[in-house]
Amino acid sequence: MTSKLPALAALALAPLCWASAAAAHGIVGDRFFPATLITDDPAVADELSLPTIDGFKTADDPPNTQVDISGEWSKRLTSRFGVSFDGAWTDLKTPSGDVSGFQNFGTTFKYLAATNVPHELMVSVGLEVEWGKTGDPRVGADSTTTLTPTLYFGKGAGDLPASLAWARPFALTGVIGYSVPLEHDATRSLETGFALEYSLRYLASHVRDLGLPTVVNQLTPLIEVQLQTPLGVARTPAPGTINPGVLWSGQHMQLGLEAMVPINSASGHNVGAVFQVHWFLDDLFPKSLGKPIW
Amino acid sequence: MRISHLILATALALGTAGAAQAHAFLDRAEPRVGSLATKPPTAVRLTFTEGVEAVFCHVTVTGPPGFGGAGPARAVPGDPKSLVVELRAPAPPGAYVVRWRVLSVDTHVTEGDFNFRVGP
Repeated sequence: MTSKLPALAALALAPLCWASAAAAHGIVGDRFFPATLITDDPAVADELSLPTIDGFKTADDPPNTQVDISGEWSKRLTSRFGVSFDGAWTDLKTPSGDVSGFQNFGTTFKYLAATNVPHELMVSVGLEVEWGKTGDPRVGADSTTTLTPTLYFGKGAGDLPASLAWARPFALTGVIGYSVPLEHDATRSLETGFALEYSLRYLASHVRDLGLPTVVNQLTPLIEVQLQTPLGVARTPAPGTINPGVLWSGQHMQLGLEAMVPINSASGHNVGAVFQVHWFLDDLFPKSLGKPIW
Repeated sequence: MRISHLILATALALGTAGAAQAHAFLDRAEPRVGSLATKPPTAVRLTFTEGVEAVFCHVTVTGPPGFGGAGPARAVPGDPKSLVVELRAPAPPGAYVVRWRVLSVDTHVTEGDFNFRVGP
């Protein structure tokens, strides 16, 4: 049976590959997956998240107040393969004084592995690299480089039966990553996250137009959840946040605002917030910066 | 302080990209998406969020038995964001499905479908 697994997997994936290629911008068939704030979406696209600003109190006792200003530029090298560069500047207010500096810089390589238009499915695989010693250790930047092979997925509910048409605007995106620090004794971790979204645009253009203004139809209420589970460490609570919020997706840009609610005591005791301006470079510069290089 | 300047400069640079176009999503349809039309419609009009190239757009309308069919998608004079499809009589009561695939003026392709019903 074991020897048949690769063949079965190939058979299962074959229909995905027959489907037409997805466009950039997180679109597969009828479905548009907006860029999410906390977890990465499955699309390979030309886009820029700048700025992303978050503020929260850390889980330290007494807690520190942390503000991050970050950005990420994603560039398609081919229609299915892209690379992203990210960085963040952190301001940390501690009882002993203020410190600020850059976090480690990161690079992500992502390949759009499969799409299925009828089932509004998008699957990508990637490798996230956090470059050690590129940030300031006073704000928590690690000295070791960390590699995180990651699986990204997005699934729209547009294939639900007509009796559940009201639920078709729902979509779920998520990431599962295995984080491996290159330092010998460092703890590995499982990085998981998902976003449950309800697209009012999908509702208005595919299910039922309620006559709402266009600006309202461009909203996507969502809940994101992010968890970091240390591996090989007994009874260590996984820090993470639950992030309810809303996205507004315009023609060239997207705005997002979410609360950051600690999921347990290891994640803190206070609610924070995150705001993002996201630019669709494939729409802004379709003939230059916004198209694949090859 | 330099970061705020960088953000502002980037926002201004991107914000002034006035010639940019975008993906064409369906903004409005007549008959409305998911609606019940009490009178048989003579046409379906689709309005998108961006201008579309009518020559490269494809719209089909399927209906209940006896439906006379639909013509090709045509541009609407003076409204580059809209397409219209004439419906041939008769358009009997029942469920209709509109499937569209359009090319926006910046060459992005989008597609979708929706239903409407003809009453009583």
